[in-house]
Amino acid sequence: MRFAPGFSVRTFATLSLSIAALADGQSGAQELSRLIDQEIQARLDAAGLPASSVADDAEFLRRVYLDLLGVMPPADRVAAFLESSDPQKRTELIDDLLNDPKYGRHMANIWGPMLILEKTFVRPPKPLFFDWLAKQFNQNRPWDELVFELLTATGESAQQNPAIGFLASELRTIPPDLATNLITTRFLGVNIECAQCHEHPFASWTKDDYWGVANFFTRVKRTKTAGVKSRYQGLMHTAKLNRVSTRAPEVAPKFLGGVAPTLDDGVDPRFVFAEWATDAKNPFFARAKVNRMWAQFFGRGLVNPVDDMVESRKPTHPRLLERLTEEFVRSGFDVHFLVRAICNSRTYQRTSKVTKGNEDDREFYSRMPVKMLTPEQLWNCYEALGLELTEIRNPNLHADLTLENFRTLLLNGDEEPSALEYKHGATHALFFMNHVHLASRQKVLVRQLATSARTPAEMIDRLYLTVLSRYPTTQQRETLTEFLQSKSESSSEDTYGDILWALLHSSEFTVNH
Amino acid sequence: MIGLEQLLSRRDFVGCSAAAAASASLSGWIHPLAAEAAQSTTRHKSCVVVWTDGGLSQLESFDMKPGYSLFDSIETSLPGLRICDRLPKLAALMHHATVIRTMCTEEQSHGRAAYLAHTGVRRGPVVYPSLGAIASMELGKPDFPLPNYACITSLRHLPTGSRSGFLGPGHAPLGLRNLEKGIANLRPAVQMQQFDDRYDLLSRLDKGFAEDRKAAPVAGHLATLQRAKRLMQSQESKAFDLSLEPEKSRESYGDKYGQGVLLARRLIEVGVPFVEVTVGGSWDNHSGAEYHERYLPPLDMALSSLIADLNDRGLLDTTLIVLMGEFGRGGRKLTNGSKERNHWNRAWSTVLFGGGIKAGQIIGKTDDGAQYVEDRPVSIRDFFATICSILGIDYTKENTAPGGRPIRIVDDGNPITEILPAS
Repeated sequence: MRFAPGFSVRTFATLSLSIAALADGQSGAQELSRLIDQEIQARLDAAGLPASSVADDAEFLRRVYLDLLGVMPPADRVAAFLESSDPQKRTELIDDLLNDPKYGRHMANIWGPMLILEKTFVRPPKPLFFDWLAKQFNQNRPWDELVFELLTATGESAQQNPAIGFLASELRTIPPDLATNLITTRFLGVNIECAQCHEHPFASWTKDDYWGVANFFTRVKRTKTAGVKSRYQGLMHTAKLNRVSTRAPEVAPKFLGGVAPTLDDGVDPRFVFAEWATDAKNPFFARAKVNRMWAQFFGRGLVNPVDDMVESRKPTHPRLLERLTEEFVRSGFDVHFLVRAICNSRTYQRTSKVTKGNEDDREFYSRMPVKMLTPEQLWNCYEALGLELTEIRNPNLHADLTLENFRTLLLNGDEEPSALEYKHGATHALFFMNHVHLASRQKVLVRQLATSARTPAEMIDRLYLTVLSRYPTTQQRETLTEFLQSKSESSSEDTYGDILWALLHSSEFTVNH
Repeated sequence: MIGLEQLLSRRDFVGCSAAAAASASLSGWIHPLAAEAAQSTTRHKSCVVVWTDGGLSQLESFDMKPGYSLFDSIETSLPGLRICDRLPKLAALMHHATVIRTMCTEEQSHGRAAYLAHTGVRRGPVVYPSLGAIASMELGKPDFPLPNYACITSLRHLPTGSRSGFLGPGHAPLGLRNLEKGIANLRPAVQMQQFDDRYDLLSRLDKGFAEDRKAAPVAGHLATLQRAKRLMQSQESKAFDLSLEPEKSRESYGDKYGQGVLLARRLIEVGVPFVEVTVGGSWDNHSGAEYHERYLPPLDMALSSLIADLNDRGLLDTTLIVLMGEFGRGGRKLTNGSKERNHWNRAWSTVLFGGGIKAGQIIGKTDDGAQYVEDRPVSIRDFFATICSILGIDYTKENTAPGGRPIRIVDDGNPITEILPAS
């Protein structure tokens, strides 16, 4: 790698490229969708696995809402979508959702906790950082540009530049501790944490690799701007080694698996690292993002774990990963483009139902994997139903319920949600099933739905559309008709409350399928 | 009160509380269950892990070293063993104990070390089950209405590593935080009959969806709902209600952490095979022994009450108590003027009580500063093999991890044979 000495600010050559790609985004993305399907099909054929059919409109609609906006669709939107006979409606919906401000918020909910760990001692003002992230995702900032900014963020305060939140929170001790790990795992798909102390057991990373990366981040310090509270303080370059880094081994800053660049005095080494990390030719960067985006939609990466894509772990679909990476780079790191390509693919739009012969498939994508709702998705769904969790005081926690401690409650000590594994325990189930506040809000919801339903059948439809985003099946209608008859002595409000409760606690509501 | 009036007839309920208030020894209901449990030859072994989160200093507890320790030592009921003077009640009970002084493990950051101490394995891509989850699987009865593994803590979340990993949600710990309320939300928001009807409706409406998917999250959800429902309906769930415990007994366990230990005893009595309980806030004392000063007395009080109570009930022989944290503390000679106590994993102590072990032993020897092992290092795998053997779990058994990979309960570990109960 060569770098002109003394450069300070990078000009974004990719920006114009990305606009060009956007103009032609639609057909390009469709092209890529086809490629995804070809590659997936080739592996299915080779393995002799039958694939499940394409999901019906209702299944697709709920899934794509949860995946792109982090919340299920509103009932009237479901009804309208099922009604429409427009052959382009799925593609149009994907575009609509990408332009919904909730999209950026959802992406920020995914990336925010990955970038600012809960255990971080020196808490930067998280809301500012999350809002900033949401804005970047909504503007579809090219991924290289966004990451470059995160890695090099400088500012007098968090208000002045919220992007400092990422490094400001992780630079508390020796930077390598958190910042290095986060930078390599989140952006490069490389886990060199073990190499901090010893050689990596499965890869050829050495201590020099670890400290080589770490030492790009030792010449940055928190600001001491007058009138700014300490946790809102900014981040700036310092010519001298910062205080907390004096314990880091003296290894020259070195690119991961690459060379040690010549660093001129007065240059913030972060810029040199960021330039290398987000370069189109960087062997890790685009590949890691593509793999993570794939995992976001399918519950698992093309290489797993997504944090540790070492060479010895072979991708399930090597050619697909390679092609997606190429196209993502070619698009100018256009995240919308990647999302469009994935969501428009037949592979993404397959039903999650098994078909004879593919029951045991875990990695061929013969059907859509069933994913756990993340705490944020579950929270959003409850809020959307008017079952506001924020009104709950002290639900077996030491504090009021906010999204942040709801997350803590549900993750139960894990840093990140795991998409394909059910983690809730019996206490969580008791909370949702029995909490008095949720029960009283459910009554309100029943009353509200009842105002727009004239017959029991209509009421049942309203309940299904609202909670499960579909109409009931014939069999379910029969079951419910019987149920209503058996409860003829109870008040209808009670009985519809029972039905609402049953739907809310069904596995269908609890997962993203 | 946690809504038991829904589960019992009114008279039973009143009778129960009255008995609890009147009885100085045991509340009426728990006694028959416990007596039955103690007599039954088929009673499985149980285990209580008393967890000191952040790292208990061996130098200020069970490996006292003149010139290093910040507290004085006192004699104990075990000849030749001296322990910290902040633990006088335990000192009188040390003849029930065996102290392992030479734990030597691989991790020294809290999260990773706690994971290791709970699972016996260093953190990697596969999530391993904790010892509690293993005990739940090996010792628990599937039809037991309570969870076979409970984790009582005042921390913000369960200790890292206390998960069921690839053994699945059926062996996940029941996390308990707010002890005064017992298990929160145990009472349905509607009458029990209506709750049953709702639940039945749920099963019928959701059946098709579950059958069509055959997916882990779906199966996990339904299994967890089932567990929650059984919990709501069980008699044994009264074990969670500390208000049923005599006042004197509650006092003998002391502060809020001690109340957690009392809850652990109640759960063991009704047959829960594995309970982990956190005592103290953070023991992560980097300079000096302030936190130890604060948390050793409540630990002394609660743990000694637990040992005495289990002994009185004839349950100590079948209940192994393990006192441990994720590592110990490193310190220097006091004459150096340093009271530094850093994370230390090269040599640290754990203590076992009861469980039928050969008590009265001190395993291993450390150097002058209790910093390095001089004799008989005990790896975390040796430690796990020992605990499993005491509990009657075959630690060489293989379980299946994701991808069909067979994984032994303990790989590459050897039990400390001289501790094991005579078989």
